[in-house]
Amino acid sequence: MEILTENFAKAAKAAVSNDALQRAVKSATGGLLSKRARAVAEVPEWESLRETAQAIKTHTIAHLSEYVSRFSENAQRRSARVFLARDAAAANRYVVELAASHGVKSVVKSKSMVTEEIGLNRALQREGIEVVETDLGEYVIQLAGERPSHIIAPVLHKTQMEVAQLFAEKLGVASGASIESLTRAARESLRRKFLQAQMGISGGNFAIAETGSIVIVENEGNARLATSLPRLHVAIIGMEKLLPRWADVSVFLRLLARSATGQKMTSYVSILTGPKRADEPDGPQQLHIVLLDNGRCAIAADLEVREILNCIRCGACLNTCPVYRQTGGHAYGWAYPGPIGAVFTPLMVGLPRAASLPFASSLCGACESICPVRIPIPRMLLQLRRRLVESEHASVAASLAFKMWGFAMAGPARYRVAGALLRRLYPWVIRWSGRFGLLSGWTMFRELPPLAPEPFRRQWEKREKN
Amino acid sequence: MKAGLFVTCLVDQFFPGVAWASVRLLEKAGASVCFDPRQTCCGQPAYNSGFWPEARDVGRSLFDLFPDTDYIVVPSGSCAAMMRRHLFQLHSQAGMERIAAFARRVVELTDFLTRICGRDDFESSFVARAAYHDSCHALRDLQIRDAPRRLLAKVRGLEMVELACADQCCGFGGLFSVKYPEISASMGRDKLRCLRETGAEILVSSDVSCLMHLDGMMRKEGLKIRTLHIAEVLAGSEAS
Ligand code: SF4
Repeated sequence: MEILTENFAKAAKAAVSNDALQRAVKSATGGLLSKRARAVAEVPEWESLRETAQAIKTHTIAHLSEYVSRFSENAQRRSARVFLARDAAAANRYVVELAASHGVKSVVKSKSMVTEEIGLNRALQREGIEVVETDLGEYVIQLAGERPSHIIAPVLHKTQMEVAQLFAEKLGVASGASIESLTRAARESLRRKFLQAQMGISGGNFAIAETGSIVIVENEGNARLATSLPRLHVAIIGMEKLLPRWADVSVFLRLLARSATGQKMTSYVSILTGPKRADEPDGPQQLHIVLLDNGRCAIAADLEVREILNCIRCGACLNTCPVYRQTGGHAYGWAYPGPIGAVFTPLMVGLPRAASLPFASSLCGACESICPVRIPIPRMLLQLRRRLVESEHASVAASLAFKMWGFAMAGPARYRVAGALLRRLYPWVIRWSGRFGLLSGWTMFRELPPLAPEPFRRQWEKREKN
Repeated sequence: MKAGLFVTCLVDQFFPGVAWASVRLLEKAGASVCFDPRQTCCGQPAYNSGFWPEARDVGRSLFDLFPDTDYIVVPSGSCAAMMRRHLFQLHSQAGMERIAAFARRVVELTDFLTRICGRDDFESSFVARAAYHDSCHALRDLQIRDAPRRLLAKVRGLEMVELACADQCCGFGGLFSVKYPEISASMGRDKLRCLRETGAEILVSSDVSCLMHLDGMMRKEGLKIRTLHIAEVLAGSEAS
């Protein structure tokens, strides 16, 4: 996927003044949050589930290569073919070559963020292969020629009106159609594609090392169709999706559905182990599993931030994040927006290119407190900020400000002098604040607070003397 | 019981009334209050902005403060969280014991009054309709939720109205507020919209930084809802 992370500040600013976007994002995330809250309240052992999940994930990531080989062995034993892709290019090449060797003309896809990450659709289309997104939200995104703005609700930034308009334009549906008839139109067009396709591509929510199975959760049944109708099924899965044991799955299924959509369980849970067997009536003839590294092994070796790989992509941190709720997902400029993106994206595309993202947070901690696997996102944002400053990516204004601050605050004598100086200069500060980079950021929307005529410490000294 | 008051740099320079209100409350709760004039800042602004060496240098002298008090009380959730939970990030393993011993003594004001002093009624009165805004760091970093509400519930004449988005960030976030002013202000506007809907006359919080941001916005927009630190309300210093 094209990296647009450098544009964050500008895109965020535009999003903040886009009323339709604001309304769409706030109402959709608000709805998801209240459903989640209700679903979580029904589970008295929620906190211990989170703890268990965190422990399982942390263990898996610490032994990632071990579980990668165990998974590969077991999947191959069940006649799946496993390809370890070092990077996006290798993964795309594998799928493109596979498609070419089987004469694939048309592909149906179920929802997958990892294929957005590697830009798979484009790679296939470049070879003249038709790629159709079959998740309703992704289908809308594809029709509109946009990018997903949320990891589980890709079209959350659009209002129903906008979708109706799009369908009227692209599918000839009568304008102002109801949600029902919009869905019917999509379904009709998609059915044909399912039947034509020679290859189905999916992601995977979990990959179980013990059995070599992949687990896919969804609500529309499109993933089940895409993985069972065409003769070839290719599952592209980030390595961090591994789970050691079969028994671990239940913990994560409970956490994922409730955190993501507030459901007890998604409508469909597919557990796929190998391609169609001789005694089975349906299923793909071949199952190819692409386990994607693309930087994940490097993150797993980076102890300060490796826990970001514990993420199960539930999207709850996006919904609760006050920054995401203002900017929507596109501003973040890559596949993963919101708090998870603010940490994961810079680690994937390189800190310098995504230098804005770790700062796109008020450090309010809402993400960490909602995360089903308890990822300490604020702590990681702080680490990335430190790295940025260390590698001299801080702005000149900020560097200067903190040099001065550090000087003034180091010791009571300097602090006193600085306080006295501030009292002298404050009227000028107020008057000229619009001219200074950082200060103008303040006064653009707020008045400066009045300075106390005397600091507390002076007042205290006087009281002590009396 | 001896309580050292760490006023924070912002309160010292801009809101000394909050420090005095804290002193009165602590004395009422039976503590003998002392102030160590060597204190400056906890280092949080630099720490949160990635300037860790600067934060470390400023924070180094913290460990010498209040050598003979049982507790160090802070009228700010975020500065208390910095000293209780984050300082150790800045230092090497070698000094850990000293840091832990210091961090253990740091307590946020409302937490101190209710948990350590075991008091929630300060027999104060303040006639107003008020909404409480949770400071993110008090709420999520220090898990302080009930203490301020219990304290406010006991103030005579104070009618508390629940803020729908009380636990949502106000948009301040330190450097964030000036680096991304549009996002920060948009978050502030959401908060103020909730606030207006409550019909509150005053907005109370346990962190002056949130209040400075929201009050600054309200003054810019000509909105007339007063902001007060919880200590000022509890000390009844503004009883009308
Ligand atoms: S970081 Fe946590 S809350 Fe956010 S998407 Fe991942 S699992 Fe969900």
